[in-house]
Amino acid sequence: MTQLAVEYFFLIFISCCGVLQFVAARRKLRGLSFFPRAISGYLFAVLAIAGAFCWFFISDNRHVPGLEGSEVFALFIAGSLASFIFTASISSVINRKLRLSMGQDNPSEEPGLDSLKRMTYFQAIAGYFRRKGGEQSNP
Amino acid sequence: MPIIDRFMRLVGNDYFMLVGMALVVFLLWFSGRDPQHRERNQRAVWCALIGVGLACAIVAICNAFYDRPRPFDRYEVELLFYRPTDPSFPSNTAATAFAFASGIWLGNRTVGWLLLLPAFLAGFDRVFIGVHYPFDILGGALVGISASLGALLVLRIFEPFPTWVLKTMRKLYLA
Repeated sequence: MTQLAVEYFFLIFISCCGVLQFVAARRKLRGLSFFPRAISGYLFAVLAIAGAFCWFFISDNRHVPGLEGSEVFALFIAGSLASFIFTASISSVINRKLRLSMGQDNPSEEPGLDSLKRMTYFQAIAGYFRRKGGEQSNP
Repeated sequence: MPIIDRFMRLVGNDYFMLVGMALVVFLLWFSGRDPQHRERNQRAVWCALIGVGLACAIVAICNAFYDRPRPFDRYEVELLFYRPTDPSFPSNTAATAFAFASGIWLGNRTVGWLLLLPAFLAGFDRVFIGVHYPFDILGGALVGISASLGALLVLRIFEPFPTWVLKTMRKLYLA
């Protein structure tokens, strides 16, 4: 049971990493991408999702009673969150010079995923807390 | 035919189809032409997730009051799957798949129709592999669709809380 739970978690984790690279390539979110070229992102997405499914279903017999519905749901949430944290961390390290090359913030721009087109996740979060700190010191 | 049996065993697996559908829902969270379109998609994802939770709760309540034996308990069937021990009616897989699909359909028709195809296939498959009667699937589908409508109602009742959650997630660059 525990081994199945761990393997299921990794199925979700790897597949969601693939989905996130697909999103980064499709929406040109350079701050979330592992690769400078979109085609590499698409290729990674296909390999990650197909590879994770093949590994999960070929490595063992999955036609046996296993996880409960609530466990499946909880592991999906955990795996997808872990994949986002992993993707945000790795892409922030890889693209750490991105903001320097893309210029300064546009203060009128609404925050959200689109901001990751020109900065990494860590830079975006750091900017958010800087702005919040500035608002508190200058009410 | 062995190849069709193998395909149906894979589709009817506890993980294959539902994980595939959940990945489409995960993708939808980040998708959208513009922020307004993306917000509509994200509300649809909320609706689907709450719908799945409600559907599982309704199935659990039904199971507590009505224990319908599985087809293989009553008839000689060529079972392509393991023997589930929970009641046959309503189908939990069908309820979850239809809650996913109809929850998304309420916010994004295109992706919703796309997800209804695997939901129908998963339902048909559970009958094919011998673990459900067709009526179990129909019951599961009705439970799933009703649950997603209930989820839409829950989201409207609790407004502006869902909007506040989405705004906060956007500020944290998660939406």
